[in-house]
Amino acid sequence: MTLLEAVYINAGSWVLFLFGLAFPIYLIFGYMGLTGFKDLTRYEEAKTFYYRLNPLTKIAFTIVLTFVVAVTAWSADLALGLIILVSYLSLRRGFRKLLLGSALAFASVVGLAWTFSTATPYTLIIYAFTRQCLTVAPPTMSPAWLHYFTPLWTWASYFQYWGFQPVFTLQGLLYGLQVSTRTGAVLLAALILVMTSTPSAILRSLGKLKLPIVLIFALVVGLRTVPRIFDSLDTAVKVQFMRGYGSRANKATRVFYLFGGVLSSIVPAMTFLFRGAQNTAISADTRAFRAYKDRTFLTPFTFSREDYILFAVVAALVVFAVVSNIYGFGRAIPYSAVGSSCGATSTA
Amino acid sequence: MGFNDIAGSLNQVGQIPWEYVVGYFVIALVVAFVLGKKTGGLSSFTTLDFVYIGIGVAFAVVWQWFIGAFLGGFLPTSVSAYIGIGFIGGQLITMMVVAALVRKVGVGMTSFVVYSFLSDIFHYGFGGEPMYFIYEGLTYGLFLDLTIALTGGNIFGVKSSIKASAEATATSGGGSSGKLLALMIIEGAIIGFLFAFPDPIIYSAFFGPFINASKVNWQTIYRTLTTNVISGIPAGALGGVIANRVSRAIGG
Repeated sequence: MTLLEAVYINAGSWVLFLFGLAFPIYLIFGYMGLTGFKDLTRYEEAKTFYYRLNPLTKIAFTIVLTFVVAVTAWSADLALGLIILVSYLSLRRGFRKLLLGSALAFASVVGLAWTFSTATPYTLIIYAFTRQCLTVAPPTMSPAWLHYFTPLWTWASYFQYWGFQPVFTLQGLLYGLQVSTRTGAVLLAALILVMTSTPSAILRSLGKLKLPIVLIFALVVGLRTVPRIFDSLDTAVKVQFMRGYGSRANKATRVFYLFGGVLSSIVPAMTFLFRGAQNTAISADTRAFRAYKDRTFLTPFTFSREDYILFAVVAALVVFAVVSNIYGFGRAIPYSAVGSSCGATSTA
Repeated sequence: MGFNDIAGSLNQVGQIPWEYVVGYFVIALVVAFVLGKKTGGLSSFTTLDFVYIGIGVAFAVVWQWFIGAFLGGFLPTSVSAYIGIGFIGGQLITMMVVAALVRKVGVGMTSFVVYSFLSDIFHYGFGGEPMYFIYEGLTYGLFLDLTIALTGGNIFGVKSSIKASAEATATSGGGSSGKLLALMIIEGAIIGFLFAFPDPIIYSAFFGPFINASKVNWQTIYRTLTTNVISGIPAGALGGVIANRVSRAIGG
């Protein structure tokens, strides 16, 4: 290997490595920031389609979507994720939420796909694509190995200590995408429930399902607390910056100082929010929470025209899953391969 | 696929026989019922306890899915096999803090059921439920509750610490004694040790195949169990101290 080749492989490997690890971190903490997280996890009032839906309909949509993306190919999962993302435009401050949702989903999908793409053993990928069980993979780049893989990049050798396979392959990339794209679509759908339903509407809906009221109460406290955690962390980090933390940071390193600030703010934010628990408890108790076994409802529990439209979409999703599988767009790679080795009978 | 994304596979090679798993959950349910009867169950909980659970669970979700998930990417797989940042910070240490704040039998199971629910809302999307409610509640949650029951509600020495602090203030003495610190560390380490088992044994060797039709590889299971024990014990010990300190800071 010439010096030039060595420089090329090392530089290229580090660029790819940083893309897979640092780029999601940059998107999350550099682009979105803690206020972005807060915006994506809290309710803001509006009157458009999603806001008029019963929370139960949104939960049903998410459940069916989870099922659909589990049985379809990564390309179909990606398409569904993109459609849901575009529908964010109908939300209050829709364009901002579209950008934030894109950043979160992209970071989540890229981060997860990268891990699986680079570190999944060759024997597992061979099994996933061909159902052939090999105890040991053929020597890398040998004709037998090339029969199974399309090489995209050869890592600098020391990347294997990081857990990487010697060569980054197209099959590894597809395997990573299959595992990760399903999480992106479900994540985006799940956030719609959080952004477009008030905690009390969720409480009312789940109450109708006869779930124990105390569990629903704890759940709703949790739902309300998630955006407040980001708010508290944001305040704590800003205070640290005001006191001089990260004063030497430049544009490129600021995001890492921000990340460090978040980590060191967790215990103070936790203590702050737990201390405020007393006020929430008093507030609930003074409204006679748990005074009676069952709750009464001021607002009628109904399904509107919008709910029936979404139910039609849910039905269409099921049909889509069936048709996709018939026409060969079913899940090509079994999740059963994840974390296991071949040799046993698979039912996936 | 069967009901709600559950494959229902029971005959994978190497899968733990379902009779054993059902046996475990029946015993766990009986234990939970007896403990609940003895201590008053959820009816002994105050509204404040449920608020603590809600806030704690929110922290666990934020850590697991929004911070730990990205932090873990910076670790080489050889290290991340030992240190599951999302799990240790979210499900282990945060739940220990909640247990230290509430200190009533039932807090563990309740917290893990609510945690599963909130994780479904923010990340998973309810696929595979209600199996995860049962699995998380009657494994991790039950372990926390058993510790609370066995320590008489004095988990991580919180009650003793509060008493010692009050006495120390009265006599202008110091804070926690070495004995109390050892108690926090030992109890935390035991919980860390116990938390190492459900994922490899009950999930990978039963629920993984049952829900996702995944295959069972006992080599992977033994390796995961070993790494979980190695990282869980010190993380649990640290968690015991953190739980005690946070609980006292809040006025537990």
